Amino acid sequence: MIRKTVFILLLVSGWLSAQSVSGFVRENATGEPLFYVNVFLKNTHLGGATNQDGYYVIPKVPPGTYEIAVSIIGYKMELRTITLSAGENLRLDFRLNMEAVEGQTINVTATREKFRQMVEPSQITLDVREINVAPAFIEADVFRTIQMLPGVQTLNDFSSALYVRGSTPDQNLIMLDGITVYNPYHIGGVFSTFNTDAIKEADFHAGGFPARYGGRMGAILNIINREGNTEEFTGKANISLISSKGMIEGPLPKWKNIKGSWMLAGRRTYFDKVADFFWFFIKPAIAKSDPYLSEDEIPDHIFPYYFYDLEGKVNLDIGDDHRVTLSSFYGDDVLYFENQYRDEWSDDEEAMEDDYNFSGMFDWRWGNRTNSLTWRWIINPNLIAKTFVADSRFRFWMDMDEHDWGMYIYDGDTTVFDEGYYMDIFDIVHDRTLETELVWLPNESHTVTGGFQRKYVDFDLGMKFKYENLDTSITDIPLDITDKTVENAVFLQDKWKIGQRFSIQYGLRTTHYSLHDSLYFDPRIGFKYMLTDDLSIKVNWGRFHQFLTIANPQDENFRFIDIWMGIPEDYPASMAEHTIIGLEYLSPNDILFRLEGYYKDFDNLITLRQASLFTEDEGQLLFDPFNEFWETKAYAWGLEFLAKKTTGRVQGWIGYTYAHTERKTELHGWYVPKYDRTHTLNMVADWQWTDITHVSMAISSSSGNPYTPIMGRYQQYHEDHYMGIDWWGVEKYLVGEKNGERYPAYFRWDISFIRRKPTKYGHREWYFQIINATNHMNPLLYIYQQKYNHKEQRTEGVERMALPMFPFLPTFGVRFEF
Amino acid sequence: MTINNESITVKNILGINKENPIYSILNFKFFILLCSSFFLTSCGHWGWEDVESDYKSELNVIGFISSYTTIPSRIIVEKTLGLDEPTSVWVEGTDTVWYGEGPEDYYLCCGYRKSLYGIDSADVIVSDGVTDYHFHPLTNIEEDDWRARRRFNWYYDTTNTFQPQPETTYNLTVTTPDNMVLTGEVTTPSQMEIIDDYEHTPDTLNAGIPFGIHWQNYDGHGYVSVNPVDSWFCGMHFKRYFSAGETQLTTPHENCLDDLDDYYDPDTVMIEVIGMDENYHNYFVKYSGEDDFVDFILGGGSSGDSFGVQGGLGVFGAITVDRIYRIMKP
Repeated sequence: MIRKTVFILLLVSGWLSAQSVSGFVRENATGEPLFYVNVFLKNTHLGGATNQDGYYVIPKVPPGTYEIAVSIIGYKMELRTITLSAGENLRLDFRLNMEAVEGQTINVTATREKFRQMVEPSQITLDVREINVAPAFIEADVFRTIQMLPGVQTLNDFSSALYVRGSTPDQNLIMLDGITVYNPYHIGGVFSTFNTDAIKEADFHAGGFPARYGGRMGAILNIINREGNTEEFTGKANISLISSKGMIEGPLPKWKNIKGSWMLAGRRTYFDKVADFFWFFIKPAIAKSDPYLSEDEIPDHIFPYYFYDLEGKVNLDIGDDHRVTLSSFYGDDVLYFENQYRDEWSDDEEAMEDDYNFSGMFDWRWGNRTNSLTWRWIINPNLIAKTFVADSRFRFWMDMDEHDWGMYIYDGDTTVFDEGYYMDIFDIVHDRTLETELVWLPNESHTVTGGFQRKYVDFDLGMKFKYENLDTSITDIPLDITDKTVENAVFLQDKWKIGQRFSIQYGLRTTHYSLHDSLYFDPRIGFKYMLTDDLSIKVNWGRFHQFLTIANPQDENFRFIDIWMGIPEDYPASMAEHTIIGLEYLSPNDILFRLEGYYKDFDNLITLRQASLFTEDEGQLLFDPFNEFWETKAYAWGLEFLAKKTTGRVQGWIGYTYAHTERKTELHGWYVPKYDRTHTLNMVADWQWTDITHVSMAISSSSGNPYTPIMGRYQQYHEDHYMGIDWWGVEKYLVGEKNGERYPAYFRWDISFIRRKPTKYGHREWYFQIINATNHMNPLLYIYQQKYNHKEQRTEGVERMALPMFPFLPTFGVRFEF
Repeated sequence: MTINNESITVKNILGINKENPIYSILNFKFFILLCSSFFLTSCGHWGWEDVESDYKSELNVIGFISSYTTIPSRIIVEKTLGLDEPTSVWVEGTDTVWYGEGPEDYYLCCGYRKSLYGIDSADVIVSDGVTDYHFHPLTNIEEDDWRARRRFNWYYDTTNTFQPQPETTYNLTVTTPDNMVLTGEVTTPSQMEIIDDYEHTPDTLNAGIPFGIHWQNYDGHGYVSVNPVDSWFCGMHFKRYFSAGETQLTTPHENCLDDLDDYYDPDTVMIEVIGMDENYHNYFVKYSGEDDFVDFILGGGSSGDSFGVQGGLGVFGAITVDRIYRIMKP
């Protein structure tokens, strides 16, 4: 049946593809594909635009001679004369040269073509320049740049997590070249996982995304990495205050009809190494100052933390129609230290002898590993298949070991001892995906996308203790939650251009979730109407299901890890419906203005109960673990405005968001979540001051995050059972409505100066930036203390102090390109 | 020099033209001016500041009815306090300061801190619908009985006439001198009864070796505890809440790594099973750890629970208790 269907599809698509012109458009210098390049036959209405692979097709071209033009702002227009005979499918690839002169701004923009093509709302693409120039914490970060877009909110400065239109970060599908990445952060969210040197573009959908994406109900972020330079060996290096990173790329040797490229990028922090260097000199002085302390007893490492990531990509073009891409990513945060010492002494007079040995180790690692193999096959000019197998694993593992061994002799008796305590806490998410996507372009009016996705996701959350000595070994596993889930999804969507002004995109995604043994239907539909050539209105509605969640306390300010788990069997899949209406205007000089309103209705959310997760009760470890939830409802609505300028000496955007989100649980009723900020105004600008100097600024101003105020004090009573029952009160604070008040308004102004100069081997770029240039106090949280009247010996009220987010912070770094 | 076929003038670069004034928001001079104004106006508050609240104090009463004579019924009467009110006051007099665990390890000191949460002059009435029982704080407290003295706001039936019955509804009324009133209602659970035969629970227990505890005549939530009477025994201290419907449990196996024979003598072990009504269970078990507010220094906070009471915070619950004793060997 399947074979027959494919055969018929091939036949039909082959018939419909008669007389077409198709091919790839790439940048000449690097071979990177160019997106949304306008390709058209002059003096006709025939034309098209390249997709995200740089592929274009102009179907149903009558036989004849034409002048084909390829244009995108920033590149020299390419013109060629072609002759097409009956039944011919002409394959025509282009390589475009940059238009700009050395040292000047290169204005590459496909804004206008994209404006015409896109039916989806709320989508924005950030190129590498936009990501790099926006000031960020210490070094450029794609998540920090996205946080400046309308619709995106942030919990605090220390978190690069994305809260999009009322959705929490776990509801966002974060992908690297299409592969799901589960915990894309370092240092508990301060930095994102993605190395900006390796990034080509970041494609962000704040909502209303099409049927080909599923499994999440918030937003979509697809990080598209560079494909690798097909022409020459090049590279970049970047040294900042905390890390060094680099990227190299180049062509593969050509063999027969196989050619290709590769890219390798890596980053590592070196705070640990710098600290060790200084510690090496300080350590002997400390040992010397304390006669009871030997140098062996002082740990070798003072800052035993680092993170690294390493990513690579290999592309192989086999003939004109096949491309195989191998992509890998490895990233880890590592907190590791160990300590060993030996204590040996004897007393001949007392016939005593002691030999004590100790070794301890703390090894905490968390990070992602992804591998994927993608095969793209241009079956015929109008039908493209893309199949990939991907393996993505997020692993959090904390390992604590302590080992004591030795012997002692006392009064002639010798005792040997050897005992060890071992503890492991872990959370592993292992995702294996097989996906095939077919894109069929039967004519100029339709783009049909269909496919299937089979996703195996294993969750393993556990805690294990072990004690052993010479006689005994005890193992206790107080927490062990494992889930094996399978999601099978099929999707079909059509983008249908009806006339010159009206487009409709409709689709359906159907998913079977194994733990529920149920089918979930996610219909999605969107319209676009061009009121004029540069003004359009968009309306979109869609339903989105999600089959996994995180079991983290909802009110935490710092999140080192996400604790992932599948939606339990006894809870329905979480669901959201997005309704979006928007206006887009593209000015004659390519400034994009966008006004969008949205309403999101969430159902079947679950919120971890914040009762104590772990209690020690005389000999018994009691767990009230990650399977106790409050059933939760939520809604979000808002209005967003964006003005984005992508050409000229000053580029950047201004974004304003009015947002309102509320959640409801049995415990609290309706309340605004901690990440809700009503008004947010963000401005990002990059000004090319001189030919070699840029000044960039980012200003962010918003309502303060909500917090729960304290109102009074009382004693909460607890019971204790020891030889009967007893009651005792613990002084606690009485709080008002959950998240009923807000911190003072947030404001941050970051500024950076970039000086880029050519060198003998390429370019060198110095940058100096100031975070929070006005040193504005943005409270992360309040800390409280009781005021105490020492004279009267009594407490007198409570005072609080705000713990700040980023203070005034200058940083600098240097980048090299060769 | 041209870029995109436009000459480089500030206006062209910025896309400004007089016909379309909306573009002027991207004027760089305007941008600089805006930033400068932010710089001059944005500082925020650093340092400590008073927390103000217009919170009005209310009663916080913890009360329960117990039919087990060694655990008498009691009502703890407190009030909540505003943030600007002191929580305790220094009382001149004597207090017992313990510096060790021995019976003589104390000295009498010059005064003590009295909690201002407690209310010792309230009118506390527990009624079974027929008779009103007036509860009072204990008055015959020895001078060095620091524990009792700190419980000046714990109200008991000092006349010993109150005999609670199972499955009976009791009402509580607390009225303070400043006319704060709290009422409550609870229905006592059925009488807990541990099955006291050697078939269900052996006459002699061995430390660390599992044994069964069975009860009957009660099917609500509850708590089981096992403790030696006079000493600490590895493997013989056990506590666990049980859910409604459970009627038995088995203590866990515990590895006692020391050679028990060398260190411990046989002892009597007390096995206690406590049943609790929904109010008591909700306050002390189900919602006990759910904080709405967590601070590094102040600790937790919550909006305050109330189960079985109206007019304030707290709980009016009931427990039913039974105990048996066994000999325990190392």
